[in-house]
Amino acid sequence: MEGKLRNINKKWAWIAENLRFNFRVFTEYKAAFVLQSVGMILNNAAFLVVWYIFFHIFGSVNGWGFKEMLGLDGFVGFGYGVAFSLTYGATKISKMATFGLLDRFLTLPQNTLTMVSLSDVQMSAIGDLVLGALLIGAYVVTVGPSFTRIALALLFAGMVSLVVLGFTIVVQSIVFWIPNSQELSDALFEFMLGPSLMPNSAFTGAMRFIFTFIIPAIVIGGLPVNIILSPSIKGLIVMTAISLAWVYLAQWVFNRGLRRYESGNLVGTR
Amino acid sequence: MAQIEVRNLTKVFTTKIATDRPGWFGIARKTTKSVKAVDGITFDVDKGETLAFIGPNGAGKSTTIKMLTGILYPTSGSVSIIGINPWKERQRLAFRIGTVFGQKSQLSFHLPAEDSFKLFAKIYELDDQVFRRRVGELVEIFDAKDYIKQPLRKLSLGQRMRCEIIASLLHNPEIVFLDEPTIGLDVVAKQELRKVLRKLNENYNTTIFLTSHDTGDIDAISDRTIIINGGKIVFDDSTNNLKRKYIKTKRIKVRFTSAIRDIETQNVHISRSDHYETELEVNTAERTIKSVLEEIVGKYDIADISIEDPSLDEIIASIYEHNT
Ligand SMILES: Nc1ncnc2c1ncn2[C@@H]1O[C@H](COP(=O)(O)OP(=O)(O)OP(=O)(O)O)[C@@H](O)[C@H]1O
Ligand SMILES: [Mg+2]
Repeated sequence: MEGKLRNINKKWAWIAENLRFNFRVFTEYKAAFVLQSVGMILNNAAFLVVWYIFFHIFGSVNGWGFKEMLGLDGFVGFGYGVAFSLTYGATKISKMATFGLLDRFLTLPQNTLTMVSLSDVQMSAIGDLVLGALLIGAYVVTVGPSFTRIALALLFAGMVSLVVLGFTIVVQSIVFWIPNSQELSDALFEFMLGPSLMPNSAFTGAMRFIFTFIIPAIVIGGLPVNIILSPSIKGLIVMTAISLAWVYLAQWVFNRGLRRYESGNLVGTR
Repeated sequence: MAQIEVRNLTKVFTTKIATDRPGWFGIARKTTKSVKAVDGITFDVDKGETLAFIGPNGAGKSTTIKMLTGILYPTSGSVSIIGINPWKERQRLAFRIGTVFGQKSQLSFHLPAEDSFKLFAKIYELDDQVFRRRVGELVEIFDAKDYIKQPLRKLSLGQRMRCEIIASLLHNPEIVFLDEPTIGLDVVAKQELRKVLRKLNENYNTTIFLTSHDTGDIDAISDRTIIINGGKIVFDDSTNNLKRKYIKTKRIKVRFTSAIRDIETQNVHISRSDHYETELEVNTAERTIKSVLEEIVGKYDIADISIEDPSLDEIIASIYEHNT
């Protein structure tokens, strides 16, 4: 039993070490980190102020008011923050593939996609992560905290992060089929992020379907906000299924893409 | 069973290129162009061998190494490394081989190599004790104690390359693949690196598979040499045989302090000459380098002198000549 535990620990210890390693990299540049994080937080705060004024003037729209916007900005910000800080490497797959920089992960013995994702951090996104967590907390407090709501909020925070990460990996992997498609990947990502910050009531009919099951804009904000407001087993199942689907899809698409990887001969360092 | 078995290995790169003729709506027509980077190569390598895989630019060396280590999917053919198919079980193979690319860094530029080593130790699932002992040994062999604690960006290329190689050896691999490890190094750094690679092979019986387009690497590191040109193997034999058959000449470049009329020596081909400089080709079967040098130094006032092997292109040319 103890031996087994030690083996499992050995198998996963590298992830903790990798995060520690990344942290060491950015403490080398501490001043820049603090400055960028503060900038990001101000940016988000300004966004909320605009919505505060909007709902103050017009009242709630189809049952969505300012407190829902708190939750929405919380989840989207947190998911984006996690994916773009801790797993920032995933956002560079397209670039790395173009310049042949995936080689150094391919010769190492752990899961390539995980190593690639953890290979870089973006300091400014830590600001989004922290503010996101605070806003999710604020949302749960304003709708009335209960055990179920707190548990769901924690669970959904993780799931939203996985969906943002999974979607990022899928759009970044386009490069394996279409060379130099960095801009297309970025545009597709924006195509999810932009709508994700719109009030839930903005989506109806076919749009609602598309932005849930094809482009997961609603999944990373509106959906968890609604489920937390009126908790249901069905909601929990839908969220779990969609986030697992994105994790599997990301791994599958990336692996398929790797077979087509051509490893160009450009000079590069980490 | 040989440790490395390569059969009919081929890689074709297909790239889209725009043509000059405009197509519909002025969008450039695209045609595809195929490059056969590696063209049906076959060879075996046994445990503990030191192999130089050499060839001119674009010969297919890097492409071959990338297929052997699982980075690239081959177009056809088969590879077995320690009984493992690299592209089917890449991760499992990675526990047992080491890889160094002279032109692509494995280590973080921002941090000391030591920090990267710690991360690699976890990635290779090494016990702390084993890892510490191993780093200690390698740092000693590579004489790298002074600079593994400095951020990589502050190191010279030669120092950095040693760190890269140490990183690839932390898990005690049975084979180490090195793609142009000596590229860009000065003469002294090159010599030192060759020495430590040799030592590595002697101490641990690690198989060394090294690519280069520097003929100097062959002599110093490898017992066996494969020469690849245009994706095809043109020579595969012991380095001694290569030298005996194709590297029979040495080139001596001499610069004189004052102008001389004509240089006169026996049994030496004068390939180029003016009043201040001359280039001699010595067939070492006919005359020893020593006797030529003694003669020249005795007869003339010398400002500078250098001795070189024939270039890889010349060796390949003479192999083709020999074969036809
Ligand atoms: N990713 C790629 N896409 C298209 N063609 C490629 C690619 N990589 C290599 N090639 C081509 O394949 C051939 C062999 O290249 P390779 O890099 O294996 O040569 P090499 O022997 O390593 O040369 P060098 O000494 O310059 O490193 C070259 O003609 C090269 O242009
Ligand atoms: Mg090369």
